[in-house]
Amino acid sequence: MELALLTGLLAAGLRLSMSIGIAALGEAVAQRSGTINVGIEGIMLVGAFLAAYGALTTGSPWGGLALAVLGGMVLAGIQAWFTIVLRTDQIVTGIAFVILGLGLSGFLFRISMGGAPSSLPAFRPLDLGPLTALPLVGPVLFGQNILL
Amino acid sequence: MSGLALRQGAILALALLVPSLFVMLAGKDPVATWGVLLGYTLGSWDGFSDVLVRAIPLTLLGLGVAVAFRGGIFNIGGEGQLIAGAVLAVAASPLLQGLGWFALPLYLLAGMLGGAAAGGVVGWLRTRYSANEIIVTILMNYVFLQLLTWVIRGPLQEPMGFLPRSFVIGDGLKLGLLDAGSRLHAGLFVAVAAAVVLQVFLTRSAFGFGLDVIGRSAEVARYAGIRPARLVVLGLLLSGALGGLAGAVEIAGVFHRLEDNFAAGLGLSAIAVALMAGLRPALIPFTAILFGIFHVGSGALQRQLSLPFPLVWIVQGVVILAFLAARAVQAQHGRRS
Amino acid sequence: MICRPCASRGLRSPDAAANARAGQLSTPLLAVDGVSRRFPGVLANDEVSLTLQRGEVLGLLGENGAGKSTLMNILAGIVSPDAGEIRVDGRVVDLHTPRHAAAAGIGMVHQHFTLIGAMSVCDNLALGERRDGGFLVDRGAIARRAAALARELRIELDLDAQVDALSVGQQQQVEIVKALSGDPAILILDEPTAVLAPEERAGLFDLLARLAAKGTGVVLISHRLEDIMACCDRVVVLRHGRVVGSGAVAGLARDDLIRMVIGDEIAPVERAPAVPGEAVLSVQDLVLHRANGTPAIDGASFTVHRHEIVALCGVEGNGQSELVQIVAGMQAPDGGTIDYRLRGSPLIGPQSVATLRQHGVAHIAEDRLRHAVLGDLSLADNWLLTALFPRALAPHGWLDRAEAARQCTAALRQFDIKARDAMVPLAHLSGGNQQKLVLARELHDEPPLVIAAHPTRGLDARTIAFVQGQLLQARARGAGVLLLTADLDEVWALADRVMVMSAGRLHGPVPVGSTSRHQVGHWMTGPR
Repeated sequence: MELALLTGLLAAGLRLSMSIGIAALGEAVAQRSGTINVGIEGIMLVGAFLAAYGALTTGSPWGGLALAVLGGMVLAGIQAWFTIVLRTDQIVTGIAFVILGLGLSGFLFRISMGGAPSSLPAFRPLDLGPLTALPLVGPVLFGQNILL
Repeated sequence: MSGLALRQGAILALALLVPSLFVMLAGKDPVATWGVLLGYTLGSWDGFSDVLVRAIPLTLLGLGVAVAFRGGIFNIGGEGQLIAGAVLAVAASPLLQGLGWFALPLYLLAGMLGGAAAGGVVGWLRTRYSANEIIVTILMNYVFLQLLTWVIRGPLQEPMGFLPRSFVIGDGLKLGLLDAGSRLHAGLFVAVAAAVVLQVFLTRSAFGFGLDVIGRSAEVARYAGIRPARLVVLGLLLSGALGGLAGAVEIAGVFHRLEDNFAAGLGLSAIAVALMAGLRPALIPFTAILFGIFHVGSGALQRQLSLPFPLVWIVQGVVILAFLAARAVQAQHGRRS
Repeated sequence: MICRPCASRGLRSPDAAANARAGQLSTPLLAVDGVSRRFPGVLANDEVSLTLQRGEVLGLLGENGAGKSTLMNILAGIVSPDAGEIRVDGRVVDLHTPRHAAAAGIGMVHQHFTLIGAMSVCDNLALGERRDGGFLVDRGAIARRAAALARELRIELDLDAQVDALSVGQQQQVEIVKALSGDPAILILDEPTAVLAPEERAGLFDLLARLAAKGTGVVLISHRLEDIMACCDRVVVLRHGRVVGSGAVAGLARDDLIRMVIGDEIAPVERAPAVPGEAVLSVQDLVLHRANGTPAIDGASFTVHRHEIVALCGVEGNGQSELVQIVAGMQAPDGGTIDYRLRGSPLIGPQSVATLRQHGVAHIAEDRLRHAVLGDLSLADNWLLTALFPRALAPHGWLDRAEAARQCTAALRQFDIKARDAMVPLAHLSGGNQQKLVLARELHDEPPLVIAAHPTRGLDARTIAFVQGQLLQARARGAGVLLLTADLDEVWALADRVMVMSAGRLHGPVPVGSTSRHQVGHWMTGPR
């Protein structure tokens, strides 16, 4: 396989895996305390929307990040209230939140940003100088943005 | 009003209020919105027939979910089982040409087999390897989704080979329209029949009773001589079969061919349908109609009021949470007294 | 007034001895005064009073169901008394939560450890810490305190070891250190020797003696006479919820204690003589291993015949519950043979529950709510539960609910069960009525073999008499009954033969007439 193709493949793979990795970290915390957070996909979706919305309104990707983290905590808090205070079933509540997340993200996206792709202030790839210039390893590991 | 009724009333009010808030956020009048929603879905034959069309796969899939959940088996893979059944049924359809009267029942049977196989795998993994069925079924959903995208671009693709969709199934296999002016098809009878059969079967048979017992306590089941492992596998076979039947019916009645995303959203909604019906087969057609109203109504809202379609998911999520809250409040009340 | 074994080790300080002697004169460390507690259907503690002095080891002795657990739960703050007072150092204390108990200076070591196996010793100790503010866990401070305590008590404590990897005796030491971390004035241990090997017991007694020497008041709850006599200065004996005797251990003979524990009332025997028929159950060399390899049942052999009741006695944890589970088909043995001769052809070897029920084996489960019934379901559905196999009420796989309801309703009348009808949820019935229903259900088909595990446990006197009458009737009809019970009165009232399980081995079965309560008590409460 050509080096360029391989490099591009690995770099993209790593970039895409970030979101799953961070979400999995969250789930791991939940499971260590004995809860199963089935609703994590719903929270991720809302987080994605909030990140885009936040970035757009604040003009900076960090604003988007902050809003997404905040929104995630709020949603998770509501889910926790249901399962702990009301003692509803964890699985069913989680499913309800996935559905809710689907709805919230899609709906809010369409009414706030018109539902069409637009350019957002995003995280730029870091420039780590000579490290990035290394063949293969450079762009894959060190050409990522700061979120990695 | 008693304290309990007051709280349940408050929950109902919130369930109506929260989606209305979002409607207002989009700049529309909530009262008018509810009016359009109910007016179209219940007030016009166009709308109501579409509601029934959506309710058919929701009923069948919901029945499958109910069978599994009654036994304490969290089968979240309804969507995958539905796809598996549809794929097998369509794949088998060329072989059923020329069998006349038998073709349709065999086609539906193929759908059930496909779904049952999918369910059976889960059952085997759970009893043999103590695999968590929630994780297995969710992951298998992805597998079957990819299977679908592959077959409609490959082995089962239409002869022209341009678009990602399968060939059309033979005329003898299509479920006829019940009313020429709508999309309502004979799958309605299949759904209703299934609900009736399952209601009788699950409440009157030893198998259904055993399933109930396992769903409540595996230890009591063992004491009574019931073998949990066996019933779990049988339960998942039946659950998967119903899902596969839903897939076969949906293709035969609505699409007449396999397409991308033909089953979008059915899996999650079916779980909600089953739970709201208290896992009772007799009530599932009604909750299916309720969720059909949400689904079709959202389309109408989108067309007439430009309200984004995902509103339907917000409504569904809120409704489920309200239902859970109402049940929790009731349980608390029962505990204290 | 110091116990002889401890004295020979020279471990007791003269001050502690003086304190124990002067018990009446100084304020007791702990005073329980007229404490009563009732649960639905049973008076668990009936005006119990006792005192504990500083530096004293007090034994609380009694059989299962005597009220020891309830009293202990009251002291630990898990249960509140209905009446009575508890005083620590003369001050009245309110123990309605475990936190209050800990604050009052009462530490508990439970019979079932509350350690987390996958975590290290240090982490487990950290869990037990009372965190007064502070966000981070100060492992260093915990470790230092634990090491100091271990030195004082002269035990080995490896703070980094994973609890799973420790022996039971070492785990218990961790539990004790955990309980001591709050510096309690009183330490209560619930059946601490139940899980220990003989060599480990001596180590525990040494530890307790050292604790007492430091001035801590120790309460040792046990049913084992040996332990009480080896370790305690004074003993209080409970029976049927009341204090039936107390005194200094040195002044009491073993026989006195046995008599106090099991009582010497003779219950009226209404049992008609019966000639035992053919064997319905024969067990040979039954073996069952625990997870850690030690044998729970170490070669048990016995037979049960028609027209007879064979009682199985033993102190909890000696393997008899497991034996009953095996005979009832719910657990498979690791060795030995079981043969059943019921309806139809003989069954050789361990069988499944379904097969046993089909051939006529009834099982009145020890833990009713966990095994025998479903509280949410109606009475009729619970009746149906055990009729799935032998398919009596489900011919061809379809339930005959009407027939189940009919049989259940008839049973309600016949057995005098207080319920509106067969459709109410079982959870609405009192424990006694639930048990009556279970009995009615199990005995309905006149099964040739009845396995009754603690059938009268936790029931009121009237229901007990009823249940016992039913078992005698089954015996008269020709059934063989295997009765697991801890109540010797019940054994003498019902059984033809009795056997005792101790450390996995069986004494007997011997005819009831040829032995005495004393002998049985002796088998139950001591080492072989």
